[in-house]
Amino acid sequence: MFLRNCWYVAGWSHHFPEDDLVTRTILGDPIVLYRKGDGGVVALENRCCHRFAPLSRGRKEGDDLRCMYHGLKFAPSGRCIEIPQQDIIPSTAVVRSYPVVEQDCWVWIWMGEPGVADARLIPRALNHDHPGWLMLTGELTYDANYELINDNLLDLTHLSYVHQSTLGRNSMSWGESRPKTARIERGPRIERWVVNHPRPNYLGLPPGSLSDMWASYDYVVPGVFLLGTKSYPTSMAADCRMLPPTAEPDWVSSTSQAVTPISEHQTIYYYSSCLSRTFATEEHSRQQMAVIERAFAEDRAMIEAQQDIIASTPEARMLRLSSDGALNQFRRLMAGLIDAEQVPGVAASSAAEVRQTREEAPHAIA
Amino acid sequence: MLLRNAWYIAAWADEIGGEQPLGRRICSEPTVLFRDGSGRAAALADRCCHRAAPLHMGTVVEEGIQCGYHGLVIDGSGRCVHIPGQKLIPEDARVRSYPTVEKDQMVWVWMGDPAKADPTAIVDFPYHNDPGNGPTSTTCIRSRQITR
Repeated sequence: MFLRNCWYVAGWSHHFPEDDLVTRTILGDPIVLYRKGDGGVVALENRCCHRFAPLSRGRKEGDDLRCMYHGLKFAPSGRCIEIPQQDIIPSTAVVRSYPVVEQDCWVWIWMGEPGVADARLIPRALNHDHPGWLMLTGELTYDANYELINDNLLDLTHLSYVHQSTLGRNSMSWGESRPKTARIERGPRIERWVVNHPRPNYLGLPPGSLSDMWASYDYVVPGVFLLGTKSYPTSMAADCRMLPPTAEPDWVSSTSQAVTPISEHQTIYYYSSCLSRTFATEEHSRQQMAVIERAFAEDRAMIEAQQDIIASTPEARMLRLSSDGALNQFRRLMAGLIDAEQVPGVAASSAAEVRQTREEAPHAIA
Repeated sequence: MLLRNAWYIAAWADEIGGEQPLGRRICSEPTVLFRDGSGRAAALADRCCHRAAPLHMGTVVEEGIQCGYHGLVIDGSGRCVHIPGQKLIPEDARVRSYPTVEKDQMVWVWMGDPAKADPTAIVDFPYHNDPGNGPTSTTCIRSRQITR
């Protein structure tokens, strides 16, 4: 099941050059995307309404797209505006057109009812395309259901295990800490001090150089991860009595990541790595991205193997631990929104009014 | 249909041991084999009771096998004995364990009802224990083409 009335990342802005027809499968829908003369991105169903030829094998004509099987021409609205050798264009000659908004270097697509697409629901990525920040981007395809990737990002204790030699830096700081989880409008906000955390190797500091790192992220519908970290000399966490820091950090980073289901069985994951130019160089930025990409390969190996196990033992249940609070909160939020969409007429109001209504069950384990 | 109340050879004895557990599918079930701290062979369902991560991607530690996803430690009997960052271990933090017997340089597992597992029903392979004629000697040809 997918949540349809929401914005998904369809790709990075640079994935959509001026003259290309780009194909994507999102929530199982085949889609073709291209840029109009004014730079705006159009997303159409990638299936001609006549004989189902893929429009991605067609030809851009100005802002329109012509199917190159039998020549039907479609406007960005999806309406057929020309049928060769036929004067009358039936009102049913139309392909689905999806609302698109380009923001923060991402192209966002609304997969639900077009009439309720509200651009204000798009979360702002952190420090993308910002002059004060170094930014690198990437994407990765998983042979796994999107929920397993959401789960992964909602419980970062796995950094000490899956990413022991990469992001975890051979420290138990992530694995043994429990974050504070608060409820924000579209998901949980998860914050913690990662105490006595080793500094990145690429800084070339003496071995054993530690920091206290404040890590705070929002995880919002339908699967957008927005993390900022601030590093300090050790003892800052204690000095702050484990509360959020106010002092100037000596290193800051951010990453924004978006999980977009291709189908029930496949998911694409877009991610950035941003470092503040105040502290970092381009070489640091490249090295940071290299670590992130090694780490995401570790995630993929684990999550795809987890998916295989779930497929072969579908009846077995998972065990709830104290580290799963945010994960379960987000699963309930998504399930509630998806449920609401299944009722005709409710989809629109649920999309417009996205506040979480369900109360979180008290933690069974603390 | 598979016969479950039976002893199956899960591995050669020298295939398990050390930090790296062995994942193997037996009677369609993902299983993981390893030696616990005392050297005893153990076979568990290859599925962590927490988030279903395969335990064969974890590490063998003194108390059992540590899941490579979030670090739970499961002992040879299938009981969870450690949860990082959490003191209380819930009763249902358990992984299915299979009766396991090591005999004649082979590891045997019982895939059915544990109450019916009778080690005396395991056939003997005494020649595996003959000096110079064991499975690790050149006189015994052994296929390594096992796939999961």
